[in-house]
Amino acid sequence: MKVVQGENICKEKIFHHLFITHSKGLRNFLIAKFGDPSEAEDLVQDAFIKLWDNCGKVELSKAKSYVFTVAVNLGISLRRHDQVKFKHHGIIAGYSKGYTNETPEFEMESQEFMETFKKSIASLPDRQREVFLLSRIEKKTYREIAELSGVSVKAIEKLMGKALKKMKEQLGNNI
Amino acid sequence: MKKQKLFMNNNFNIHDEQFIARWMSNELNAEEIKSFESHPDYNIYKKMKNASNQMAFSDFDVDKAYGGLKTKIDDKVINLNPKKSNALWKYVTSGIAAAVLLLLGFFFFQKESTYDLNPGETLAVQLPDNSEILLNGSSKLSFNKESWNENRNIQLDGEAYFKVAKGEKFTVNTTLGKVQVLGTQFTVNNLDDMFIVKCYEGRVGVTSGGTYKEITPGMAIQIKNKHIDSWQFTSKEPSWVSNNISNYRKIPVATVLKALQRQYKVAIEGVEYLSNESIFTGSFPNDNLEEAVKIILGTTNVKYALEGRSKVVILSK
Repeated sequence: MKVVQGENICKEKIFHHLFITHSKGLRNFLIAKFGDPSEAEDLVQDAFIKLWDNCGKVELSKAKSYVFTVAVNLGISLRRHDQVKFKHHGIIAGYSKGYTNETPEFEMESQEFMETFKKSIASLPDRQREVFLLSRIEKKTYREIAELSGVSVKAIEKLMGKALKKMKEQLGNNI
Repeated sequence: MKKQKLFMNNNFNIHDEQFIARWMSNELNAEEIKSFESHPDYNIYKKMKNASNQMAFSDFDVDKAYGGLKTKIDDKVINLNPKKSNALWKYVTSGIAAAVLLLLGFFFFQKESTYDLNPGETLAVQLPDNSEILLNGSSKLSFNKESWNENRNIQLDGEAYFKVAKGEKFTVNTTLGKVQVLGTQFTVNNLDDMFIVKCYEGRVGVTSGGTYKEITPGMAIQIKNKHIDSWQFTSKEPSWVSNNISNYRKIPVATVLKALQRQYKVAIEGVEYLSNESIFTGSFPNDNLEEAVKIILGTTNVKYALEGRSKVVILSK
């Protein structure tokens, strides 16, 4: 029953604060990456358990990247065993007050269009879909996404552009 | 730069992936936006932008998730690694205990701290004098935190490992006997009708059935119906603390099964088939029921069956 001294992650207050600050972002990041909301939440839990187990070894400033890395690695190792299809039920399209009304001429699209649109997201290649969701739903800048995946901003912009074009072609055929 | 160049030529390339990406995230200037608006693909991209503005990931309840995480961490601490039951558990439980005590105190003016474990759980408890207690499965412990300085008594039903802070003194009471301590480490186990005390450090005085005996490090005593059996051991810590193993010496198999039930939520039927002469000496794991039952009953000549994870049936001799 060792009580660890100092302002480190082993203090539940700090650990709790880290969870409040990063769990939702991590969970949404994992949905964008792997597509399965309930799996994403399991991975968040596993990653934070691992952080707790290693609370004395991980520096507070590294805690965020630690849980992100652990969760992503776990998710990848799960994928080695199963071919998991992207599930788009984790994305909800609706008239929620949560969206940002970013342009004055903001318009609602029809339910029908939304369904086709979600399917086109699901059919994107993994990396493109990840970038698209992080940008459009998580409202992350391309710079932030680039930092998360350790590549250049240009590479992210290209992935995003490819995603948009692919979706445009699909949607164009469907309208 | 590239963007700039594209527009100076007024010849931007809609097929340029980066361009559409930047348009989507509102990084273009008014002029660029305007020139894009006349492009035949503009409408469909506009629809995509609108549609994605309308979307969100399903809700995430952070508090609920944290609750789930805490339960999992506490379970893990309790079941897998009793030594690690550190700050988180303490924080949580002391919070709850304080809240409960406050309520109780308000109505009853009573401030008893009680810990009552389920099979297979272990729990670290800290006494007001900083002595540490590790409580084993299905065991119950209580003491009075408020009046600790005047009343240094602990009630125990089951098994616990005590690490007494240097210079501190208290008494552990059980239905079978009591143990007085002074700056020591020891385990007390009242199991069925057996009273087992092992001393790991310092010195403890054991009183049971009218007899008093002092034991020293590496010494264990086992008392049953006033019969005292004592032996020497070498381990520095109880096996259930260090290796998640239960260890018994020369005790009736029926009594070992009681110890088994402290580790597993399991019903046992047909104990009457066991001979009183079946005596067990050995260890069984606290995290593998099948193996544990095999070890305990394998030494006897009874036939038995496991019904799932919840029942052991001893069939016949």
